[in-house]
Amino acid sequence: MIAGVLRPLLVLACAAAMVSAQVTSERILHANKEPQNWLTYGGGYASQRYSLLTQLNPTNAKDLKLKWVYRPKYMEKMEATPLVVDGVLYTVQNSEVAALDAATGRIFWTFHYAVPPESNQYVMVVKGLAIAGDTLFWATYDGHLIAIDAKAGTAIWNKKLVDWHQGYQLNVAPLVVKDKLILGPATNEEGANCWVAAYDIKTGNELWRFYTAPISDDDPVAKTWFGDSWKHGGSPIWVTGSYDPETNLTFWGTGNPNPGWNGDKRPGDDLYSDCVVALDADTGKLKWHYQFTPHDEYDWDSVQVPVLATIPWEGKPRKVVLWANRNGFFYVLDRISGKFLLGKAFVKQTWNVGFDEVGRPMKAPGIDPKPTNGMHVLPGTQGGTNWYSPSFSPNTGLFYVSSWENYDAPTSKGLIEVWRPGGKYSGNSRPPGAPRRPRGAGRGPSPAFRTEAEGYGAVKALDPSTGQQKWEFKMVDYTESGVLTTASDLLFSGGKEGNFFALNARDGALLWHTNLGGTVASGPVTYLANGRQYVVVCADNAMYAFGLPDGAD
Amino acid sequence: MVESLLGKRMACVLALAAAPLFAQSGDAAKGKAVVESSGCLRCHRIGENGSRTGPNLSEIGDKRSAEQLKTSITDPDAEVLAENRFVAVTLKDGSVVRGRILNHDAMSVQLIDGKQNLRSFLTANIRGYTILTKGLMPKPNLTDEQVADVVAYLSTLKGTEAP
Ligand code: HEC
Repeated sequence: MIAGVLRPLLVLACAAAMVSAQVTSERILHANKEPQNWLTYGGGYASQRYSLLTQLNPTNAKDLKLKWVYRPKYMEKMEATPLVVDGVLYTVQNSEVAALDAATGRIFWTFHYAVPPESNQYVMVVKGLAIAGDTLFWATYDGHLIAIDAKAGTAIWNKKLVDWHQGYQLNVAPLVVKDKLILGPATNEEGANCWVAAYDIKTGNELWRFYTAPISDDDPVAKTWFGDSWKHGGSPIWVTGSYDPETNLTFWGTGNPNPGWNGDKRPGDDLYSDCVVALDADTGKLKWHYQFTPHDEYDWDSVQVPVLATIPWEGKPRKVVLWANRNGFFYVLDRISGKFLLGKAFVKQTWNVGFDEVGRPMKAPGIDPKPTNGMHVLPGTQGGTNWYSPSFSPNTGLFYVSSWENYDAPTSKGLIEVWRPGGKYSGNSRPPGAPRRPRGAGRGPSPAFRTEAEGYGAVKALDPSTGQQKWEFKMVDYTESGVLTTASDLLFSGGKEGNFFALNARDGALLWHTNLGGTVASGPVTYLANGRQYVVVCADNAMYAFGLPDGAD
Repeated sequence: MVESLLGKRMACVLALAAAPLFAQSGDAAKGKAVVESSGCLRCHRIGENGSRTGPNLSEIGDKRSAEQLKTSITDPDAEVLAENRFVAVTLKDGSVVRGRILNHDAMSVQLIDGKQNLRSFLTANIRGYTILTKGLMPKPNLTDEQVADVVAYLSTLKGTEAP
């Protein structure tokens, strides 16, 4: 009893003694120097999701215990990566931002902004917040950017960036670079042309904009579409980019062109769909781009997190961007020039027969143009991976990615719809009179009965210098979980079957696991609270924190 | 909501309309007797009778056409539904536990064994397991007429729940 009373007092005392400074751009720049915190979506500008914390290690991971659970009030699956700043954890789900005590999960405040449910038409779930100074930033489904006082939980400003009735929505965690917030809108098969833009941290005023699909015939990029098909080219932004302070470049992945499943009206490369674009962070000017899937008809959004790393390359250290793409290939690109260095399949694939000398994929016969009514191609529609954050450990030198292996789902090609604002524009409509496809047709057996040959989820460890797989940790069901690695060579991840686990990052050996009863579809993060290391992950619509038992070292 | 209810009722009407067609080719009452005397219930459950080790046939007439039912009796391996698969779990001591697979994931596997016990194994505590997709049902020794009767009987087995 006495201990029970004393402990909260102690926690209070520690919390009061904690210095909570503003999150300056200097602090974000050197986020890796304060591993007790998690200051950006990707755990630092390089988006490596690698933590220098070592209290938890492969020896004591087996002792991990549940510390607290946070249940927001909405039923929606949580995909957001939380931020942790000096003992306070910030997260967002649906219409609510919350500030929690990172040690106990107790709520300091919640901030509510009612997002109209219709604006979240395709359930592209909010991925997280950004923080600068004492201000949190939240990009809402219905197109608003809201600045929130991180101490008080009140709105400072609220700016409408896009109109969701026009087929736009916002769901990325913004990226703070100096005095700017960088983000862009998404369109989910609604043909609204998207962009990456910078907004003033103080006011929300727009400072620059780079279109990922052209908005004028005069734009030379419009020629990579056909006729006026560029007008509804989509190319959304829905996962946060990275930033390289040395070159002042910010890197963003772009989504698929519209109409996504039928490219007949847009013969050409359809720039800048399915690309990584490297933009000057001050001006938004394009420095280079690389297109992973020219003229995509398979929904292979390139909305993965660009992972920046320095790796050995032909005997010398090289600054690169590492990228495991939805199209099933792992890429290494030169970070400064964008030069294609390597493209190697990390899952079974049937669409690509090789690359030319500049890294342009050569498509297999029968793949392009896509036959009407549909076909099988590996990886299937959901891809070899998707938006789930990978991790790079400078300690092991390995790149870790959540992947869908042997994954085959037929992809259809239908009629191109007449475009109207906010309407479906997917190129996947049923011709009049054609039979309705049976529900679930072509989807493989339920994971409960599935064999490995019919598809499985895995965390794969790749050697980035060769793309060679070092090991894989197999699950039965697929995975939408991000990956976290630590300097003590722990790896945390999970999957759709509800397991959350710790592996040895060197060999993939299972060290600890627990079942959280729902899909793990977020990136785990780690931090210190009261000097003790926590790991936090979301499963379904709840957040779980784990740590060593009280009293353990 | 209204649409989906309507859909179900439509399906029901269609099934009823189709039922007399099957009756012509076999005698359901005789089929019932064949099923009860041929050991089918050693593996299958129909209503309150039989074993839960194999697939439950209580509503099989809703799920499978007469043609499909005939094939699943005369050529059981022709099309085994994923939910009817079995699993063979090899324990650390080398012995094997077999049963119908209920679920599995990265850490464990669940099944119902021949004695109708629900069993769960941690993958860490076993040597391994194999999902079996063929060779699960012995081909019964029935005449063409008996097969037709059994198909007629199985076709009458429908869900009792109101649409
Ligand atoms: C030794 C156990 C065993 C016996 C005896 C047996 N079955 Fe089966 N049966 C199975 C198993 C296991 C399956 C699932 C695998 C398959 O479809 O082959 C099955 C499948 C079926 C199916 C298909 C079920 C579906 O969901 O599609 C039908 C119909 C069926 N059996 C009818 C019969 C009839 C009629 C008899 C008796 C003449 C019989 N079975 C005897 C084990 C048995």
